[in-house]
Amino acid sequence: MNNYYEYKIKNGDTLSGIIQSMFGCVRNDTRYAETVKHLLALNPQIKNLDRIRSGDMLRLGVLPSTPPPTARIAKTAHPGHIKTPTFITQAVHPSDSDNFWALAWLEHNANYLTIPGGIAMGASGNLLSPGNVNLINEVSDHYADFKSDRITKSQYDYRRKLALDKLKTNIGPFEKMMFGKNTTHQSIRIARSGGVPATAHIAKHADRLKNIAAISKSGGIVLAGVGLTAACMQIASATDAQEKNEIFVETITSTGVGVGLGFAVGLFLISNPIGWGAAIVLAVGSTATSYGLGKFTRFVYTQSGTKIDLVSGAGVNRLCQ
Amino acid sequence: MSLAFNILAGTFVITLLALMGNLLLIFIMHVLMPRKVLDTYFKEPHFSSTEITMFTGFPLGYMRTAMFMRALGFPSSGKRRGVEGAYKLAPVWYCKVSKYLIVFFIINFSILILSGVIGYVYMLMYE
Repeated sequence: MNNYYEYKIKNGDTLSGIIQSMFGCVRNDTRYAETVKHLLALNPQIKNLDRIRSGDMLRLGVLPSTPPPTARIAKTAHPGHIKTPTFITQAVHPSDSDNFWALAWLEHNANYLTIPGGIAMGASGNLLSPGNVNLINEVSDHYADFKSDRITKSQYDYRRKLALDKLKTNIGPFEKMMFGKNTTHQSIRIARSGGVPATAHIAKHADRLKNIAAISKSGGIVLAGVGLTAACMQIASATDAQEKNEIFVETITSTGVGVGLGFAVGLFLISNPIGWGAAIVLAVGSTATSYGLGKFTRFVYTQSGTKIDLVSGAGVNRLCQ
Repeated sequence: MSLAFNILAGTFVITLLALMGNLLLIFIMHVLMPRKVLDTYFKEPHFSSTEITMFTGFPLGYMRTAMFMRALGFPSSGKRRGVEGAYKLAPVWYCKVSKYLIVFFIINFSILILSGVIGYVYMLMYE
């Protein structure tokens, strides 16, 4: 954990004022030069401490072998306009520090998780669409027809082969993910030994797909949570209302368009089995479209010059702070 | 910005707001979905166990609503699953609203995507 404060320099702040309020020493104090040296070491981005600018961040660390600054501040006459800065990491318990830094990373890199994750979850969800899963159930239905003498053995074999050929073509390279080391035809077969019901293998794989579906569903919830949390953190750390609103409109649009695309794809997939290529194209297309339209909404918001404060209006600034 | 871009951006914003309203209405339809329809048809053999797992609860439950709204608004679309008679279990107003909502959604969403994609390409060129 870094041992420093982050202080945002305000209009009217001077270096001597900050040092006086935070470290309790004035210019003619013997420790003043030592404090300046210490601050320069903590802030390598600042070449000249006499030329600090409003809005810059200044790291203020505890001087070696001195009492904590808060103790000094309590005894020092406060310049009034300088408030005690928030020590971000002070409020974080040491046991939570890993989570704290993970969230800090997430704030800036959420797209690296949500975009590929969204594509993977979308593709697996599309592959497990009703059309494909029904092909597996068809085998079971054909077997029931065969056992009740509605079709002959060769008719059953032929229909089973047709359904499984189609499924194999549809899932393509995802066959291993779904059926492990066996092929589709080896996996979806009638059990002829082992004292289990004839459709035991089919039921087992239907259950397996059910589990993959559940994982996709949970993954979708986690990704949605990750995306919204990151957006909330970005809004919280944005420096002005304009930037907060830009992030807000981008997030709302991406989420809304993503949900709309899910609705549209759902209407389509309900009766159309699709192949693995189409599953990936749909997932990539959905993710790219919601991302792109989010960016475009931000662009439109910026270009329009509107001053409508959606973040405050929707109460998001109270939620994300 | 050119007049063409302003028209495009205006179309995009209006359809985006309409989409938000549309999603809100779909959420209301999700809550109001007749329990009788789900109890009768949202089970095997009409839906596989995988589908039932996928489309129950948050967040994909609304896709189940999409399917049933389509089956109720356009009964012939439910033939393949054997749910073409589901409309008989739902109030007439629910079937009608489902039909109009789906038609509106498809038209509005198509315009939104089209204007958004053209706008995004324009934005990349502008930047």
